[in-house]
Amino acid sequence: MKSILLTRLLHWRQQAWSLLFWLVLPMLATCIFITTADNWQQDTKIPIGLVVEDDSQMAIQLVEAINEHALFAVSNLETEQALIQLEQHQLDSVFVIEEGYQEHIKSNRRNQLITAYVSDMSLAYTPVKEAVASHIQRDAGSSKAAHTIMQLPGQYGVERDWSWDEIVTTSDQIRERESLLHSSFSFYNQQTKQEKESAPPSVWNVWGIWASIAVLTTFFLFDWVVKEQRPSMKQRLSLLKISFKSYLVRNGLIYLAVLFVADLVNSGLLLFYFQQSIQFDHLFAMISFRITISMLAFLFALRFRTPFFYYVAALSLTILLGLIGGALVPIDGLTIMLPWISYLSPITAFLNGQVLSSLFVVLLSIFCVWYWRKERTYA
Amino acid sequence: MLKVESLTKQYGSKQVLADVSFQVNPGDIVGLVGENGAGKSTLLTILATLIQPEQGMITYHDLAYKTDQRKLRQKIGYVPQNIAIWEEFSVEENMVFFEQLSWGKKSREQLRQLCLDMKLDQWKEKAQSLSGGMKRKLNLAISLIHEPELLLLDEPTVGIDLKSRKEIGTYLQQLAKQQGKTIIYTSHDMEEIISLCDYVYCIGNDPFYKELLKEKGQHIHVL
Ligand SMILES: Nc1ncnc2c1ncn2[C@@H]1O[C@H](COP(=O)(O)OP(=O)(O)O)[C@@H](O)[C@H]1O
Ligand SMILES: [Mg+2]
Repeated sequence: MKSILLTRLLHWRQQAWSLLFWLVLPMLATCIFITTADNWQQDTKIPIGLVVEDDSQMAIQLVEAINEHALFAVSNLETEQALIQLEQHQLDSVFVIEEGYQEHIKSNRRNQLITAYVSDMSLAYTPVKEAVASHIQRDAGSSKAAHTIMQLPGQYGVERDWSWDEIVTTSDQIRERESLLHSSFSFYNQQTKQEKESAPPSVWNVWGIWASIAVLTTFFLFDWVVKEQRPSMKQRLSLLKISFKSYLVRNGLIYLAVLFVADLVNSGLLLFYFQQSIQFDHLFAMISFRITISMLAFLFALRFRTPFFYYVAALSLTILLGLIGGALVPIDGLTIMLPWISYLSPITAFLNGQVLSSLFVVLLSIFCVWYWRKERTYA
Repeated sequence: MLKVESLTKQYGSKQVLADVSFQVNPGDIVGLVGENGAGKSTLLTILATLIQPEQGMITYHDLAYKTDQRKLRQKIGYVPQNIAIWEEFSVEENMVFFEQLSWGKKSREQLRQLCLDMKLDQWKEKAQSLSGGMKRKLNLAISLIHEPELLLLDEPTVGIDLKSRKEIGTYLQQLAKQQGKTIIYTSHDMEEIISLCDYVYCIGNDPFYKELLKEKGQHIHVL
């Protein structure tokens, strides 16, 4: 094994930079991709101005809700300033929460709760108006229910008085508990509530993107299998102290060891870069994922004689695995129709935290058959 | 002594070698001639244990090809027809690479001497910048690292200049006559065959080579 390592180092000395590049690419590309995509999302938010003239609990809740809205970039301003910015088209539109907002809702008067200012450039006025309206609707709806319920005891002679506040609070609590709108994009679906609040996760699946690029780079790193089994070199390597298969397998193990280290470094740097918004509690799934895709690349490369065709085929296969694994774009239609299809992708197993995937078992079996099958030589 | 009896090889339905028998003694240099596609390379790869014949028996001294493959490989030096070296490595790195995986250990100095013996002196030069002749010499040198007794050379001198060709020839003659190695090699260069070989085997029924070599007084056997 020492001599194999030495001969591999001779190769790596020639390709040190490209080796390093392929090893860090999954991490680098993931960071660049997600940062760019998130910035782009940030840039495409609609700038709106918000003027708050009511300091009631309900008004504060509405402000919070608008602030959290993914589509809006909200500036909290005074009316005068907001209107100047609107005139200069720095803001798409301005919404003023009028004084007495809560009072009006409580007393079930639904006009003049909010004043909207728009310019001739307000392209996004309608969606903004609708989003704001839906928040008011919610508060006004709870309020209306409360009024209705408060009137019930009188109508049916029940001896219990509910206050308006009690009813609204209860209905809000129920809504919160039943809420289906929170979806987690984190690995493992095990993200804790605190983290969700402290740092809203990116809509992109960090580990899914990392895994897809890792598949691609693994294929590219295993191109030595194609290059070193060209007929004349295979003949030469077959006559050495170790068999040709053993030569390939031992080199494959060396690559695997280096890739393990690269994976640890990659995930460490990813965790550092994305801080709280992602988690890493899948070491064994990652080790299994690494072995699976290395075996896949190794066995796949054995079928090729020309690097060019190998690269093209590897690229296509990676895209396919990324798609059916649901890491790049979620294609629910396909996976609902054919649920088993996602099991063909090592990325799915990895994202689900699976240590022993069906693909792993299949590839291992193929590998064993290949290794122990006799070639047409004298055994 | 290498002994080949009733050797038959076919690719699919295509018969390449039909009932070939011959033998070669230690210290002999044997030429193998025949038109393109006659089966010269096929015969050499079988003798190098790299592919299996359909029929026939081959023995080298007391080793049988059917059962003693590993032991045979230690004694065989095979030079593939297509140059098999790492183009991006220097001559030194190429020699060290194959020495590491070879049957016997050699020091760097010994490896360098091996190259110098056949007048390959660009030790630090990248293989890809070597001339065709120097590449052929490196291709040959790599196959000799483990000091094999039975040398199977597939067109070791094709496409190279006269000087390198003579240098390789002189070196091979030394190996056979001074160290008693057995050498079987193929070539299309009749002058070279005549000056180097003790006798010639011709594969295929083409009378061309037979006539040509007979004229020059060369011993020729048709396989
Ligand atoms: N791996 C193979 N599969 C099928 N046919 C082959 C293979 N190798 C060689 N042949 C055929 O066998 C014949 C002999 O080839 P070869 O031994 O290379 O001839 P030579 O070296 O004398 O030119 C040729 O017709 C060639 O096409
Ligand atoms: Mg040939």
